[in-house]
Amino acid sequence: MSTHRWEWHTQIPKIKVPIVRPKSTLVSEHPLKASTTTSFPGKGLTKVVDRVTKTPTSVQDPLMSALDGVDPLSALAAQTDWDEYDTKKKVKEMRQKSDPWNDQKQVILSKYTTTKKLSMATGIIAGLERSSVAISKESRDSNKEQPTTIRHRLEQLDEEFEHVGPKEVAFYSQQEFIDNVKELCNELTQAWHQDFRVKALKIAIQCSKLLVDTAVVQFYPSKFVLTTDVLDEFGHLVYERLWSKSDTRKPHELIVSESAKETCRNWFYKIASIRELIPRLYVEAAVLKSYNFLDDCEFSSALRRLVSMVRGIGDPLVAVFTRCYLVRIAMSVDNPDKLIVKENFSDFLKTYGQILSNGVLVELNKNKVDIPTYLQSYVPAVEWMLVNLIKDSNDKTKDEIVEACCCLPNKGLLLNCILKTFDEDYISRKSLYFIKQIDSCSNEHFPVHMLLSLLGKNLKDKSIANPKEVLEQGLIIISQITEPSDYLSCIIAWNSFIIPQSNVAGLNSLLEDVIAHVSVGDKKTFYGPLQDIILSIVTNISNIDVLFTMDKFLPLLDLFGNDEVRAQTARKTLDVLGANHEQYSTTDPVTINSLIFLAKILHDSVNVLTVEDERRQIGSLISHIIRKIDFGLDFEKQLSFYVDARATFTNLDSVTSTLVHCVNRLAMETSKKVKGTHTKKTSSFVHACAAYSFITIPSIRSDTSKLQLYLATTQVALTNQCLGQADACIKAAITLIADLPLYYEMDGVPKSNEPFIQEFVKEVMSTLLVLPDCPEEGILYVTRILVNVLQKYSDDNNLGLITGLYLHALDLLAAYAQPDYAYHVKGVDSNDVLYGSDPQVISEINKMCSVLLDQTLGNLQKLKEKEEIKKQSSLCFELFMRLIHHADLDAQGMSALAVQLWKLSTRKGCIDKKLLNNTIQYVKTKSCRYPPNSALPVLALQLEGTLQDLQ
Amino acid sequence: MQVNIDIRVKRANKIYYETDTISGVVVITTPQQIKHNGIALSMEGIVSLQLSPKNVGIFEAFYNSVKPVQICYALVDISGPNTIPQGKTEIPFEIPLVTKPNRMMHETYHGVFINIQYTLKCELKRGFMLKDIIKVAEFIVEYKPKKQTTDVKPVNFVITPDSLEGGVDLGTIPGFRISGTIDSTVCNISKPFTGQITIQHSEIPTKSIELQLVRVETCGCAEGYAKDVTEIQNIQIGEGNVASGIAIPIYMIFPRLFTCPSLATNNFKVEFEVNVVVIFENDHLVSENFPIALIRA
Repeated sequence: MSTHRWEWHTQIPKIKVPIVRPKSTLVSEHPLKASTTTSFPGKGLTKVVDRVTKTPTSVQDPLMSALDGVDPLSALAAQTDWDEYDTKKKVKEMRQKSDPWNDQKQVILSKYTTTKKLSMATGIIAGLERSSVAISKESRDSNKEQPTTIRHRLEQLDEEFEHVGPKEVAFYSQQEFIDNVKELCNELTQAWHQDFRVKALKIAIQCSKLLVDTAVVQFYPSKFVLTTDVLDEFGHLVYERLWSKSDTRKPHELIVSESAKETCRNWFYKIASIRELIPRLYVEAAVLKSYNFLDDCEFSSALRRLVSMVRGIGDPLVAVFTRCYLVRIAMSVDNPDKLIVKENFSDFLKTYGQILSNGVLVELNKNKVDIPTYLQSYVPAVEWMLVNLIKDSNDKTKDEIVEACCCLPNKGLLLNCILKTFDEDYISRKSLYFIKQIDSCSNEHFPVHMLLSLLGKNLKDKSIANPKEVLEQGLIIISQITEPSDYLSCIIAWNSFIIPQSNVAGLNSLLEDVIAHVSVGDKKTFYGPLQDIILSIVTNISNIDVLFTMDKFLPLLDLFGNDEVRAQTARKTLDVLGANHEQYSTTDPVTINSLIFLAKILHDSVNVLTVEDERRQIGSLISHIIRKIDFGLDFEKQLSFYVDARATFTNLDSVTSTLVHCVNRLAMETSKKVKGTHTKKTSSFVHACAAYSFITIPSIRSDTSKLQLYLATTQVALTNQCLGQADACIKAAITLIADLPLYYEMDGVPKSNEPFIQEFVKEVMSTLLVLPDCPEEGILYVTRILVNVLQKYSDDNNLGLITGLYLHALDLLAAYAQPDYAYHVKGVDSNDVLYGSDPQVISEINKMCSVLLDQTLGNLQKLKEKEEIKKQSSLCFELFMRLIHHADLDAQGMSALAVQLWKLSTRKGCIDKKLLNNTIQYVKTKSCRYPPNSALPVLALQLEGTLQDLQ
Repeated sequence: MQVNIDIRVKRANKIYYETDTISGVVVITTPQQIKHNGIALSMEGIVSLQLSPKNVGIFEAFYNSVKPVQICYALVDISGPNTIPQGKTEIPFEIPLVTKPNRMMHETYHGVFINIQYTLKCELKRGFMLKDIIKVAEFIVEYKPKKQTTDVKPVNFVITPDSLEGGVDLGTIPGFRISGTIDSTVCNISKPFTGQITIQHSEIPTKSIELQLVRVETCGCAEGYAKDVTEIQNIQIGEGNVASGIAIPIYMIFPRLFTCPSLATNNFKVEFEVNVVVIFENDHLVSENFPIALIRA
């Protein structure tokens, strides 16, 4: 085949067929983009919903509906189950009653920890071993004389109480301590279930004895939680046992058997004889609920008595936690007696002075515990008391409580708990009062900054009557705090209140204050809070311009000496700005400068070690910011901004390409303003734009984006009649293709550039059609370059690709030969106008086509040799179509070639029969327009003949 | 497994009053059928007195133990000679609780030198060569609560260095003032002992405030009488350095068995006292003694 050189003759339409061009309308949005984004999710969702709603109706079994009621037997079975369940549920409910406490428990356990050694009487566990032996022995021969047994038992109980005193004390680490307590709890349940109830009681007593020791103040709240868990378990066991002894068949009236009552009384007698106050109190409180088995009102009166008994506890910490436990017990019943809770609290206030009495201070000094830490240990207990105290109470009661608390010295602790537990509305309403109170206790032991930050948190998002005054007063106290970290915590808490309430000047002075506070000491520790402050300002501010008019904002950012943190902050700031102000665009020079400053920080943080994803995110963020800056009609300024930006952000491809796109857009905007016809001034401006793009593109690293940008710039330049730039750009693009590797690696997987090259070259060709030839160069020299590049690019591995592109080049050349091109760019005379179908041009085109044809046929041959038959036949078919469409079949050899190609493509049966049929139909229809003796009708007949052969 | 006898009285709390009839069952569990020569159930109440070796010599204490006084005694045969089948057999019984002539019924009391105890004893006689099986069970006797009009007279007390007995204050005792009230010194045994105590002020911190319940047992006999004071229980009501100026409740439940209504007979007496003890940090202590009369009301 290759021995014979085929001459191509482009078909030039003899009859001028008027080209009907669809009317073009200017649109602002890409027509495809909008429709896809809106319709897709909607469709998916409705489908899902449909499916869900339909299924239940379809599963209705007609047999099921016949038997509408439940059959009596299973109903009965369900009933009995239910009865059992009812009683069980009741027990369960008892347990779940203290749910809010469970949450609290976790908080306490995680907050109050220690590294110090904790004391625990070793006698507990050792003693238990002994007593269990004793008891089991005793129970074995209990059928001997009973009187002595009772006596013996009581004596032993007495002895045991005395025995395990503070005799031997071992010290444990926190974890060991926790494990030991848990072990005790297990032992307790185990003992209980083995009917060693006295032993269980003893364990409960030992546990509560742990609460006497307050040596490690920091751990005390956790210790309280651990031990009260054991006590709760004990109380629960007692209750359950009594419950099982009494008649529970009717859930609402409790019929207590005499023996249950007796057992209950026994318990209380036993507990009443515990020598020490604190264990007696705790254990009685733990089983207090069981008083219900004796008498209805017994519970309340006993609880009241216990509350007053707490007065006898000298150690204020122990006392307050005991009160906390009593409140828990009080609230655990169905109708809690609020009065008791109130009495309890007022008792607490009466003895409040104990908290910082001399004895306590001496003790603290000895244990080297500072007072704020010590006071912190009170917080959970006081909070719990307050929470239950103010439950469902009105403002008047709250006022009373607050006033009662505030008239005490060292009220910081109380204020702290009030601020934490009372509802925000109440606090924000009385915020001025609270500020005054906080101010008055600023010289006392409780850290003021905690109070202030709590108040600040309460004020968050609240509208109050006198915000200015509150703010002023609050800031006065806050700025008096000298410790930077404390100061910052306050500012953070107040932030969301300050920012909406204060004006720019106020905020600015606040920032100044912050800078002044932080400038002393080690800055590194404040990075976190400072970042929070900056971000919350940025988040809450309504207008970016206002943000940057504060001259202290950027200095604040400069406090981050460390580049990484600074970049991180800058990034977060820009993130927030980008996300919160979607519609925003700015022209303000200060804002622009500041934004660029931030972006620059971010940009400079990118280095070799930055991971790809990070780099991409930063790039898109900066691009986003750049797009936000809009000078409106001042295009010159906009362009000079882009010039500056290019100089600033050299590291990131995505930013540079954004800049190129922006400038291209700018050129198009200009063209839109002048409605396509440029004045001298605008023309030079768009030239400048094109020049900007042209010199910016080479600095981009990625080849594909370079190519795309070149092409885009070419198109824009063409639209703006910058022919020289367009020419240069497209030439640059075409020469660049040669450098593009066929394969590239992405995430370790080799990927082919083939689809990209195919698409890109096609697009280049369609652009080339409208690009006029430069008079100094030869005819269609750009196309020639392209073909040469393709030829150079081709090797054995991409034959299919290149051949396909050759075919497209044939398309392009055929289009060049037309007297009137399919499309034009407004204001640009394409080659059709320049050459006016000059015969010399046509012959040049024919020559080029012949070369291409030759190349193509050569490639087809090579494909055959490589046995890529399928590809070969499809390409043959394609070429055949080109011939039918573009070539003058009457010219010498053309139709023979067409027939050969047809045969070649149909031979292997790789082409769809339907397609072949349709093609023949098409050729037949087309041939009608030609005289019957010309090549096409003859060809049509020949083709039909081959088709019959095939069938 | 051997033969097992259990005496179960009907009342769960085992408390009976004078002239009550004690009813219940004797439960016999046996692995195999046994023969017996009759089952007897006896009810007995005794006051046993013991002399304290402190008051009389150790030998006298050993030998001269005062003879127990029997308050009541009753014996019933609940079964004639018979065989008991294998398994569980319940034999109901009823015994009237009446005193012997010229004897007074006293409440059950377990003391150190004086014990007042009521028991039921079941005896299963098994004939020659076989040991009788005996089971003893205690039951409790209480006075019937009487509606007495007890005049509740609160007793106030103040403890200061000046009020201390024994010696004059030479100014070495640090200053303190402790005041309080005992709601009544005539106490119902089934109700708690109540009152309040306030540390008005104290120069040295307190360590503990305690209530000590003591019994005063007096045994009279031909040779004279012996009076012994022993502690029954000690209840702490204040722990550590308690807040001053705030009333701390005094509250103590009288333990069962170990207390009874105050008792005075010809040859023995049982009385009770409460000591309010305040212990200071340096282990010095002050106390106030309150003789109390216990009644059953």
